[in-house]
Amino acid sequence: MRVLLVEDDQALAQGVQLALSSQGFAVNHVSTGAAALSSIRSGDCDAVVLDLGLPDIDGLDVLKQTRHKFPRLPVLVLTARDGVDDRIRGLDLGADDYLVKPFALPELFARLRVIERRLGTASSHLITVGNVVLDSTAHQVQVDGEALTLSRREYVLLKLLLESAGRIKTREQIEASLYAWGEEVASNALEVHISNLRKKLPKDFIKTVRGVGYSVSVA
Amino acid sequence: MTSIRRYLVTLLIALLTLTSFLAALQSYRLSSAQAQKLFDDDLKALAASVLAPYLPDDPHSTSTLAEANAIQLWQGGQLVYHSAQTPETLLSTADGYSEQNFAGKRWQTFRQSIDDLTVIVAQPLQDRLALSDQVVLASIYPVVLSLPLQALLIWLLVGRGLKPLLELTRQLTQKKADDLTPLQLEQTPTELDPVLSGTNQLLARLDDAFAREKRFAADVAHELRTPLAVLQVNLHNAQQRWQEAGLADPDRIMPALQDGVSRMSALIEQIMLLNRTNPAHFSAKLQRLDFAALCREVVIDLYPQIERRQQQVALEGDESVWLDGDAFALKLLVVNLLGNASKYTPEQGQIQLSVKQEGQKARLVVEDSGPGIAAEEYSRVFERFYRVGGDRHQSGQPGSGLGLAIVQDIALLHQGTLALGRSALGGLAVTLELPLCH
Repeated sequence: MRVLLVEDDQALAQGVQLALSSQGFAVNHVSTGAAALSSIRSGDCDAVVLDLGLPDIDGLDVLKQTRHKFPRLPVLVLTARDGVDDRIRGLDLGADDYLVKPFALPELFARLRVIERRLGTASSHLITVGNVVLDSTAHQVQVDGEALTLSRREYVLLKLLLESAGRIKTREQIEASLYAWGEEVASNALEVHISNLRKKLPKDFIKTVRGVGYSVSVA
Repeated sequence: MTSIRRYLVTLLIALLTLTSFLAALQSYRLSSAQAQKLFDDDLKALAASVLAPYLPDDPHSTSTLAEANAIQLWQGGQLVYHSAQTPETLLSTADGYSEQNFAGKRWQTFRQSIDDLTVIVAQPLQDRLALSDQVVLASIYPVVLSLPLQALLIWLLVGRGLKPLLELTRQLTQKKADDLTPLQLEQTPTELDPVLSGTNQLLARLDDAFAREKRFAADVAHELRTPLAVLQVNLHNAQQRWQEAGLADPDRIMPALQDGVSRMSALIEQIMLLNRTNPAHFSAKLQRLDFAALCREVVIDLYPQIERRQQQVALEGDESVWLDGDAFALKLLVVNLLGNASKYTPEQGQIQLSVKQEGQKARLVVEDSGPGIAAEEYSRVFERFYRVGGDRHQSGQPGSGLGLAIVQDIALLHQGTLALGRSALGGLAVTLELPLCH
């Protein structure tokens, strides 16, 4: 995946660029908002990692303009700014995700992977979590090399959980995503689908976080 | 620009002039009435004295014309005329004015002689005095009567003149502790101008100082975040290189470095948050929010960290609990409580949150299966920079000792209460109670 890194701090940009490259991302680095906007307009990136504190244009304005012209381009916001307000504003303006500095690099990798999977630009179309492998081109799921028979609804549900492995998906989020896939689910039916899916997967693969939602573990 | 002094002086002078003028007018009218009466009486007496020689020759005849005064007319030693109550003896022996006693009264007499004609007129002194008393009183009455009116008007006008001062006092007394907006008067009198501008300058400086203090911590944290990120990122890269090169790290230098950077990040974050939530300069923006939903969001946010430690987390209680609160501060509070629970509970431990509405309060209980805190430490853990067991915390977890101090500050901001206790899960149970309405 081609990542545009917009960061004015050279030392940080260099480090992030190095780390992302070693993870197999193609990184293009710019230090100003203007350069970022022109690079985005030329269309040579799949995702943007945007620092909000830029020397020329406010990062939030860059985000707003990007959203306006390229509503589907994923933007991950990096910010040294304080407070929830900025984050909420950033997300309202359409950032897909945000990280507050100082951040752990593995966290940045993980979030970019989520974006990559969603874009379908991953070098591999396979999502592997433990001994479960989902092939998003063949629409197939294998456990320990054995193919599972899943209904379309179960497949979408599992893909959703695998894409955000290690994080919680709430009932509302799952219902909204299924709806977007044209798979409307009555809210009391979600438990039934999860329970059916569980029977076909390794024990405790899908965890219920009581009172919050569902999750699959990364490890 | 008005002046209390000019206002009062102008109005009081106007007032005194007006009332004095009215009083003078009234006394003029009264005294002139008295004087008229005096002159009228004189006219009457004159008429009587002119009539006297043409009256019947009876010296004893009474005249009704000049009852008050006494008149005698002598011609060559003979009394030719005398008024009613006048004795028949010679009243005065010498020409000119004199005082005499007759008919039981004291009289002022005037005698004039031409050839063998002598006329003596007399007036009771008592009448004269009464008359002059009346004249004097007539001139004093209006002045005396106008005094209460003057007093009333002065009272009203002084009250009006002092209105700006009273308004200033009212504004100062009603000012809330954290309200540093300038004082404003509709019309500022000259005398109050230095007071007002002085107070406002002070308020502005105070506001500025508070803002600077607040900003300073945020600025420091903000400025430190990027260099810390640089450190963190490059440390990660160095670690990767080290591993790729197959270098051994028997003294665990890299983990020690990583630990130091993590601790510094956490500390800076907490110091900044502590500063932000300090009740002295944190103005909570209270709004209606769903506290249960907020707790769910925190669980979602912290889940990666909980999952890394393979801990079980559950949220129980009501689907939604609406209360008046500051979303940022309350989220921070729950993050700190849940973060602590995860940090100090061993791997594969259990964490349970329960949020419920109980009467007019929302109650959140965060419990864990960790080692808990000894009861005698309960009061101390809310102190800043205090850590159970000091720096050699047995969990081996880095921490700043500020998390619970922040939690306490935020609870206080919401007039909530915090209590520590032992959980059925074996570890610590933190109970937070928040009022639903403010």
